[in-house]
Amino acid sequence: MNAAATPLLELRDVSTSFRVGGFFTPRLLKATQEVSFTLDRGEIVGVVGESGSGKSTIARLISRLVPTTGGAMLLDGDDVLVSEPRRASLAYRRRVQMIFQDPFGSLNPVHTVAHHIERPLLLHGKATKENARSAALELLDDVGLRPAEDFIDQHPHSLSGGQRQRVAIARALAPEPDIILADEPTSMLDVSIRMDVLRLLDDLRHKRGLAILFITHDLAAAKHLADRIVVMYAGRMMEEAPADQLVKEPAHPYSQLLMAAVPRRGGSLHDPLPADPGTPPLVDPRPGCPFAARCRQTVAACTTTTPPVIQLGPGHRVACHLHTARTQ
Amino acid sequence: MSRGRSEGRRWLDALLGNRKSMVGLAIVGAFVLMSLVGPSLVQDASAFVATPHQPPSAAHWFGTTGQGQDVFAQTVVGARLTLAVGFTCGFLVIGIGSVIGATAGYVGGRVDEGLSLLTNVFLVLPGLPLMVVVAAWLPAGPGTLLAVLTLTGWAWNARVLRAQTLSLRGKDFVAAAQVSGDGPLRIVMAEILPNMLSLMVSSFIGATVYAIGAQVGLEFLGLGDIGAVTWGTNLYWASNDSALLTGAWWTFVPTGACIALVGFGLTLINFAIDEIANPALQSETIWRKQLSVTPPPGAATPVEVGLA
Ligand SMILES: Nc1ncnc2c1ncn2[C@@H]1O[C@H](COP(=O)(O)OP(=O)(O)OP(=O)(O)O)[C@@H](O)[C@H]1O
Ligand SMILES: [Mg+2]
Repeated sequence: MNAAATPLLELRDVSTSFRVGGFFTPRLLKATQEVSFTLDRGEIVGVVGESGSGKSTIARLISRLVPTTGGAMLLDGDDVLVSEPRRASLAYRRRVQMIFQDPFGSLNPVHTVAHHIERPLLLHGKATKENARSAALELLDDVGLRPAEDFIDQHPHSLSGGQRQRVAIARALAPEPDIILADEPTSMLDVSIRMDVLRLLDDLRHKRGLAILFITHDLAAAKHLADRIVVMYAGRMMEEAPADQLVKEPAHPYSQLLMAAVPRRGGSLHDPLPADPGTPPLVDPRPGCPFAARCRQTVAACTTTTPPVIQLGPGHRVACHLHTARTQ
Repeated sequence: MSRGRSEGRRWLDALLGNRKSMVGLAIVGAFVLMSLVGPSLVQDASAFVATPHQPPSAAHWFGTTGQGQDVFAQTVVGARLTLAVGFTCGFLVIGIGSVIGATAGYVGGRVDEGLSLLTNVFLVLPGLPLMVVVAAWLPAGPGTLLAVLTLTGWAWNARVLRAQTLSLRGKDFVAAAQVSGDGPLRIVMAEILPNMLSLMVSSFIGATVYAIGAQVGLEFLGLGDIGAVTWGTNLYWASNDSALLTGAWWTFVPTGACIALVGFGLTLINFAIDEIANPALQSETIWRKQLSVTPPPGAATPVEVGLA
């Protein structure tokens, strides 16, 4: 890959805070802090981390469902937080689509499958009123709902979880996007059909050259599907590396803990990890590395200063004082 | 297009298949029909036609009033204004309530704070004294009644619909519509409101029942246009002509029975809507119907349909 080329999507130190607490005691919950990574055409980037580490927040801020409180977000080199600060343009919406975790909540119970798919087709000029139905049928066929005629007039409640998730994927594909943000797309599905949905996403990436941000707590799935993996902890990026490298030689103590704790196949971060004193506070976070309280290899700096993100090798970055010390 | 209609048709089918709603619709329908065509079929309700306070007879089925008018004609003619004001008020209340409630619930922030404050002010204002004062202050007539009833009735609906909007706004399908590029107005109209349809219809019916009752009450107190013939003024005149003292029960029983029947019919429809919207309340017949529907290919089991 040409390193000088502008990435399709680049996040630079993006942060998001939520206002929490009462009217008189407003406080900020720092859901993500200074997250940076890139996403390119035809690439799948996995984001892994425990519950509350800010994975969904990353998907929601890229899809502009939640506002960012700092940083830059570049689509084809253009900072959309500057060019369209208040709300995303229709052009941005067309290019960036999202698949939600819960296929039972992401489809409107009062509308048919046809409505869900025809609406974005019409909205983004991908079909006319006359051919919207046939275009929708084609999309349903693409996502493996066959024969599409049997599904298009159904309401969501008469479909299974896997079928609903396929409808949600078809909806996301309708505007012919460049990027799909998939927030734990299989975690609510039966184990038996997870693999099918993952295979579908992989197919789409190859056939359509889609860039996919694949958020998951299933390390095995991330390793299987993703080219690169970003490890999140308490709203901060701990490590980013090519998938194989992260699994074989994790550099960050947190990544090492993840890899060691998770069995080789089908491991999940929802299983408790050893030495877990709970997620560190996101409101008024302690200074230093958020992982320090759980880390067995702390140095003095860990509880005083936030470790900078440093480059370990090609495509391998880590935020840890152990490595900061070594490279300096 | 076809999707809105199919949702409407599902509801219509369910309503037509429910015994309560059928009885309620029949009662209310009969009265609406009566109010539309009745007045042109009966004799002049305000005219002096016979000796005052005559009990029911072949010539005057419901007897005559203390003013010598035909009670049957008055009962039939009275339905028109009373029902017109009642249903119009129902529409206004639900219209204002949904616009304010949905806006506050969806937009949130300062807009919500402002609209919620307004709603709460109207909620804590004592309704009955306010109605009496405003009705006495404005010139008597149906327009005044409509204004007074709407003014005192909208806030409760706005509050209920705001709460419902707020809970629907957090659903992923709303976020999905945003990601698709839909604007706020479209999301409220096409994604959120259809999910509150049963609530809106039952609120409309509730508001109509309230409007009919309160309107009759105000007119009974003499705060309506006592020259007009409505169910409320019928009762006002009955009381004014000492119907109770003279034992002229026929001057108020027919009107009273009509009011009670309309209220009963509307309430039955509301019960039916509750049953249809909330499967846990559904009576056996509807269950049997739902279960006998052949599931589409690859559909989930009926158990899941019930839970969804
Ligand atoms: N709208 C919001 N308002 C306030 N706090 C929020 C909001 N959304 C998320 N948070 C908080 O931000 C933190 C990160 O949440 P997020 O949903 O991104 O985690 P996650 O990694 O996706 O977790 P999970 O694996 O459970 O989905 C959590 O502490 C959460 O409570
Ligand atoms: Mg999440």
